[in-house]
Amino acid sequence: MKRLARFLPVGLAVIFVAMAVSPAPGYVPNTIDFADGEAVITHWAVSDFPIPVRVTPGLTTDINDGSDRSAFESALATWSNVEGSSAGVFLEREQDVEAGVVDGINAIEFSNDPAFDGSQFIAITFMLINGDGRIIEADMLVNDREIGFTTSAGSNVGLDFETAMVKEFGSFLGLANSPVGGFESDQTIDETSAVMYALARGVGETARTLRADDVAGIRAMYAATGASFASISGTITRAGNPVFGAHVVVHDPIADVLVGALTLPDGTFRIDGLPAGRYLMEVLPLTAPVVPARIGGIYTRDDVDTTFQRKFFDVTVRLDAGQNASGLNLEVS
Amino acid sequence: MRGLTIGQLRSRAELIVEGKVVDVRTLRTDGRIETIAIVRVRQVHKGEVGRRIQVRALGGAIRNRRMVVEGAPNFAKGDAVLLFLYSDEGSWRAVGMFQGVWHLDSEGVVARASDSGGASLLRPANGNAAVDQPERSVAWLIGQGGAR
Repeated sequence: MKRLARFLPVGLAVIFVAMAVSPAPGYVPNTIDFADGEAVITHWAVSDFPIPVRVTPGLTTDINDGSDRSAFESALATWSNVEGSSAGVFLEREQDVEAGVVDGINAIEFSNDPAFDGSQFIAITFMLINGDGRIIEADMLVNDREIGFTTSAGSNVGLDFETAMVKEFGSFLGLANSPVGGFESDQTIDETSAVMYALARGVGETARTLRADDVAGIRAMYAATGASFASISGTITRAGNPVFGAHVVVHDPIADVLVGALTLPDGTFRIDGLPAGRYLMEVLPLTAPVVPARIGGIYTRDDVDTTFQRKFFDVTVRLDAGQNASGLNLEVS
Repeated sequence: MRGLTIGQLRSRAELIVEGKVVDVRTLRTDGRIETIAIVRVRQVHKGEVGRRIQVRALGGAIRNRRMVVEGAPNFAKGDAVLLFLYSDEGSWRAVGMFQGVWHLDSEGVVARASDSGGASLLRPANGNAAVDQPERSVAWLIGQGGAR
C-alpha cells in the first residue's frame, strides 16, 4: 500500500484513501460538449504515438535562414521528450499540404491565402474526432500572411516562432487552454505562466519550454507505461453543493511547481502527474481575463460558478513520488 | 489569435447584424468540413443585406465524426445572435472567428461572447479585446453608447 499523504497543519476534514478513486480527469484537457449533453475529451490513442506530421516546404516565409525548421523540430521535441509521458510527434517530411482537409495526413500548412484575411488567427488546429473523442487526424493552419514570425528571442519585429509552435502543438495533442498564469505589472505574461495559458504571448515574449502545469497535463493525458507520479483529487463545494468550474491550484514554492485543474460538473477535480513535493492549495473562480469562454468545451455551460470567493487553504499536502491524496473536500463561499 | 478591440471589430466588419439562426447545416466539400448557419436578419447595424444570410464557419459534424476547429464560432438553431461579418466568396464569415459572434439574451440587450473553442488570444496593442468581458451590452457593441 502506498504511503498516505500527510497534511500540515491539520485543520480540514480530509479523507485519505490509498488509491485515487475519482474518475474525474485533471487539468484542462480539451473537451467537446455535444448538443445532446454528452461531453468527451479529445485525445490521441497512445498507440498512435509517435504521430507523423507533414509540413509546408520552407515553413514560414518570414524566415529564410532555416532557423524556422530548427525551431519547429525543437517544438516537437519539447512535447515528445517529457519524462513519464508517451506523447510524441515527429516531422515526417516537407510537402505541399492542406490543413483542414480530411485526407489521413496530419498537415501543418503555412498559408498565405488572402481568404483568411480578417480571421486574425496565429495558428489554429483542426481535429477530426470520432464519437468517443479520439483524434483520428489533426492539422494545423499557420497564418503566414497576417502574422510576422521571428526566431530571434526577444525580437520586437514579430512573434517568437518556436513559442507559437510549442503552444499550438499542445493543442494538437489535446490540451485546452490553461488558466494557470498571469501578468507582470507591465502587462507582459508572467514567466511562470503555463505554455498553455489562455492568453497568447506577444511580440518580445517567449515560452519555449514547458512549465510544470504543461508537463503535468501531458503526463496525465498520456502517462507512460510504468510512470509513477503523485496526484491530488477531491471535491470543491459551496454551501454543501458541488462547484463546477472552480480552478484548483497546487503550488510547491520550494520546487516552484504550479499546477492547476478545473472541477467537473460534480465538483470533483484531479491533478495528476505531480512530482514529489509539499503543496499549498488555492481555489479561485475563472475570472477575466481567463473567463470560462476562453477555456471552452464544457466550461462554457451556464452552471459554471464564477461568483465564489478566492480562497487559500491553510494546508500543506506532502506527497512522495507516486502518492495519491484523494478525497479532499474543500469548501468555498 | 489576435484579440480585437471593439473598434477593430466594428471597422473590419462589412456587415453588422442581429438575427436568429434558423438552420445549421454541415457541408463536406473538397475534403473540408464546414458549418453553414442560416440567419434570419432582424436588424442591420452596418452594411446592406437581404433578410437571410449564410454564415460559414470551419468545422462541423458529419455522421459520427466531428471536425473541431480551434477558434471557430459555434451556431445552434434558435440562437439569437449579433454578428460582425466580412464577405468571402459569396458567403459571410465572422471577423476574428469566434470574436465576431455574440449570443443575445432574451431581451436582446446583453450579448454574451462566444466560446473561444480553445483559441488563445493575443492582447491588442491598444486597449482590451472586446471578448475580454464575457458579457457586453448590445448598445456598446454596436457603438450606440451603453454602460459596457
